[in-house]
Amino acid sequence: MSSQAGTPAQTRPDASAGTRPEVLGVTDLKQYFAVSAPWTARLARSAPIEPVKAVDGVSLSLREGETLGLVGESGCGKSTLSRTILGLYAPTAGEIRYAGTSLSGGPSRAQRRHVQMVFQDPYSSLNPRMSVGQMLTELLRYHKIVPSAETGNRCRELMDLVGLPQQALGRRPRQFSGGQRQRIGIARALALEPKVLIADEAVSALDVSVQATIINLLIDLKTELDLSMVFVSHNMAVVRQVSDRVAVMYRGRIVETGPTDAVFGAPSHPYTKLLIGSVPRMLAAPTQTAGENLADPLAAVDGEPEADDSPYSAHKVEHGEGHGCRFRPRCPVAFDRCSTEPDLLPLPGITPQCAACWHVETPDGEHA
Amino acid sequence: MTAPAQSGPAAPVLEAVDLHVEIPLPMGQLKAVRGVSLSVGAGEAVGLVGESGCGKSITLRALLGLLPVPARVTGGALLLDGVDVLGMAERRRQRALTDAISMVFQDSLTALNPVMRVGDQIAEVPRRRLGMSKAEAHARAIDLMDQVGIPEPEQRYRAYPHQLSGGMRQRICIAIAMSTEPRVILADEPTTALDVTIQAQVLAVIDKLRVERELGLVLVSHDLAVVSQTCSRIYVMYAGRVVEAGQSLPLLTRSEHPYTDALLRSVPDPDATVERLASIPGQPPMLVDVPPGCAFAPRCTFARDVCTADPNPPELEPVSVGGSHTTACVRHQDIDLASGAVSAFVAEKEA
Repeated sequence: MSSQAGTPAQTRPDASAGTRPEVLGVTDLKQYFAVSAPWTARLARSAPIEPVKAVDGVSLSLREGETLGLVGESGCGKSTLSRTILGLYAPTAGEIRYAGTSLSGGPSRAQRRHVQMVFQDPYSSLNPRMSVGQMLTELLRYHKIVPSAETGNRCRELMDLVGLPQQALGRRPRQFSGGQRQRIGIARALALEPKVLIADEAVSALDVSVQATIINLLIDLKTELDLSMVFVSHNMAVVRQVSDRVAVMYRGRIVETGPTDAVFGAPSHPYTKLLIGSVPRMLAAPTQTAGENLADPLAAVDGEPEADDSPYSAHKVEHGEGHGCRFRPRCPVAFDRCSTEPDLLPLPGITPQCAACWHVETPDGEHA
Repeated sequence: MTAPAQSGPAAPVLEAVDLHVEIPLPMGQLKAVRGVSLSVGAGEAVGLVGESGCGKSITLRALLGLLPVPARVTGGALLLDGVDVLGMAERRRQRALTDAISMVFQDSLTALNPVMRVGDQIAEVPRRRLGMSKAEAHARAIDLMDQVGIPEPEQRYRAYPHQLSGGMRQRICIAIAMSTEPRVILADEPTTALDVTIQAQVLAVIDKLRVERELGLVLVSHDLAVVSQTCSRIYVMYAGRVVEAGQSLPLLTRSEHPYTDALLRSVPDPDATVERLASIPGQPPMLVDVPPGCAFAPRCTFARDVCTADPNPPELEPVSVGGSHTTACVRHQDIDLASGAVSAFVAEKEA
């Protein structure tokens, strides 16, 4: 794995340049979804319902040849973020840049093909009525990747690239196993010769032994084709194996970012600590990971981000949106300053690691 | 009712002996479970691991008589306190099994009734099965919700499933499973749909109940780490058979079956970065037309002619004389499996 340890983890685009230029970047991206009010509320003319802030001010920068791991619990906005970057949603606010040019107003067809996605579910992301060959040919023709006479050859090349036999081109998705289907999904993404590959939970639906082959394939392809990759996953162990740099998301914001080994080795945000500590370890005592020192006092009171809709949600009760650090209700080390929301703050020292936690700035805060 | 303490760990509460399950399909009989023997004692946690399609969920459902329609048990015995229940009449068998055994499913949202208050769903079972009055059942439901760690149970009694988070819903499912005062809980991937931070809590709840109530627990999971933390004994399944069984520690540190070893190697480690993840080439066999001999042989790096010489699949045999660690690898004495990741972990701990 090529180490990008020298690249600063600064998320602002104007931060000092690393070894290679930025290929994809977002600045202060917001993606809100309107919630329709129930008819009773409309009748009563009550105040409009707050939108769901799925992505709430995210800045990221992906360099050429780099793999950025995006982790977080379900509902933290990591999939929405990747779909917004892809252009599947029009962002509420903020800027997406590809190779230095802003994509405001949506990407053009030419730009669209440069950022491609590998979806989670290899069963529903492929058209069951088209053979693999038809699927790839359609893409190659629409985007005019190769002259029509060449499409057949290109399809066969793609099959070689993802390690499938050439006969696979004549078959339909249901004739393949989960791992093979995911290979087809990767071939579909690679058909457009993208510069950036977004893998949204690309290995989550697979068994461990198959998962390993797909991860190895993605790593190989990245090196072979000089791709940059955003690897979205809830699986910390997988992200650790794949990524050069990691961004941890919590409730629509990035709370910690830095080189993979630094973040996993010395996590500084309490949420990152909780997340890494909760991963089940082989043969470890269960209490060890449920953890006293990783105490999550309010987790028993609906710590889950998805629980926000619940009328019983701790978040709703304890503090409204926009009031202080969003991890505060679950945080074992929350203090007065947490009533204002921290930005991503660089950690003291030389590591290009940032955390959205006031303790990073407070030297007397013991845990930082 | 709960059995008195006289049944020690030696007497299993639930035992399956040479269980066979077949599913009739147009192309032939799919042999989903091909002779599985397993047992669970009071207060014991056993794990059933394997890749999808290996028959672990079907085995679990067969234990409770909950097989999906065309599938049926075609051989073997199912012993509850030493009594074979498969010979009983249908209604008696279901009554005996459901009195003693409960199940927790993977997806709590589909397991629960969406239009019924969660508290009523817990109280329903004590009312119907234990003949409790409405007030008694209500009190019992509140008590159970409290025990599975649901805060403010009085208020949440009235909640509908969609109003609760995934972790809370799974706790409700555990409370429902506990409401019949079972002696064995079967858990089919109970935490797979949950986030890691919540997974740890739900596993802790299950473990607490197991210890407090001397429950037997059969945990099915594809996550070896989860099983290794929760269970004292592990059965590894491949292609409808148990290929290795034993106490968790020796099984995971000194695997005696190449499949277990390969499976362990392919699990990514959250605490270290490796150059390249190990994977298992090939695919599991179709269980309609099972190859002769060891079903793992076509994917096994250690396979020789001897592995497929006998058309019958290899039986489990003890690794050492009189030991509880058994393997179905005929070549286990000739090959040396040093499970990389886990051995390193143990070496590190011992150092």
